[in-house]
Amino acid sequence: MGRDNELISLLAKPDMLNLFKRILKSRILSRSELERQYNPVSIEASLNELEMLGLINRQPSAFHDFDKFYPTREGLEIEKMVR
Amino acid sequence: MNDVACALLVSSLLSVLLATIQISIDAKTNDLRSIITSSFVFYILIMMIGNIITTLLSANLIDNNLPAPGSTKTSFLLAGPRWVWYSIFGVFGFEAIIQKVNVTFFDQGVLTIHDWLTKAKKSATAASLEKIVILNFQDSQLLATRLKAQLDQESIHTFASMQLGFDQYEKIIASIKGNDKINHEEYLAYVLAEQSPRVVKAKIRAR
Repeated sequence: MGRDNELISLLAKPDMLNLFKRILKSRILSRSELERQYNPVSIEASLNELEMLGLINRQPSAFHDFDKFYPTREGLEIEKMVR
Repeated sequence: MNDVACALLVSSLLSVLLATIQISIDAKTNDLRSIITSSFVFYILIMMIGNIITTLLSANLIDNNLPAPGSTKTSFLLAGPRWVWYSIFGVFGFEAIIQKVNVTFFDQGVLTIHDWLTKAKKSATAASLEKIVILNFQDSQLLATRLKAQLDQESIHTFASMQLGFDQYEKIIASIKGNDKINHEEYLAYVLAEQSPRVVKAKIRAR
């Protein structure tokens, strides 16, 4: 129930939802690719929140800009719902 | 090998092929290394079990409803070996069946076969995505290290400005300028390895 509430609150935030949809659509995105489209300052908090919800994972890279973000199984499972 | 055994073998091979195509599309990759994971094997097993069952069903249906081989009655399905038809109806019939069949237990709806397959597919896709990023990271690091080892500092800058375009090169240099933790040449080599891996590979091979 708590988890459902967290997901509902995620879906209520347009910025976060758009970011999640973008990652779902591309499957894998680097931080630099995301920062080209979204505000670099606010994006970190959104990425952390999505990661904490277990919807995305991050693969750290040699350089911060090339960290990769991709959906987890749980993220893929709610793909139809967020579309 | 009799027709049924042959059809089961073909259905199993088709299951592997279809599962590979599905995960490749879902994970947006054509790199076989990243598709093959333990979750993918599990997904194939579920597909195979389903396809084998429907192939057996289709063999039974075809044999019961069509003239026996050697009979004087004709049917277009008798053209060619029967195992072809068993496996075609089995594999492609499975897709139709999984949308309709529901597994129930004491009148409680348990998971439908479609749900099982969807969950297995999502797991296989997620495992594939994880493997893609790990392999990409390893490939990029290896390429960047080789490039940096082969080119001197000036050549890396020249190669980067030619390959990325002068505007992007300038932007990258401006973004890392003043950051003592970042080695400019290492960073440029990594950018090139990430953005143009084929060109970097060709450059390394050419030297």
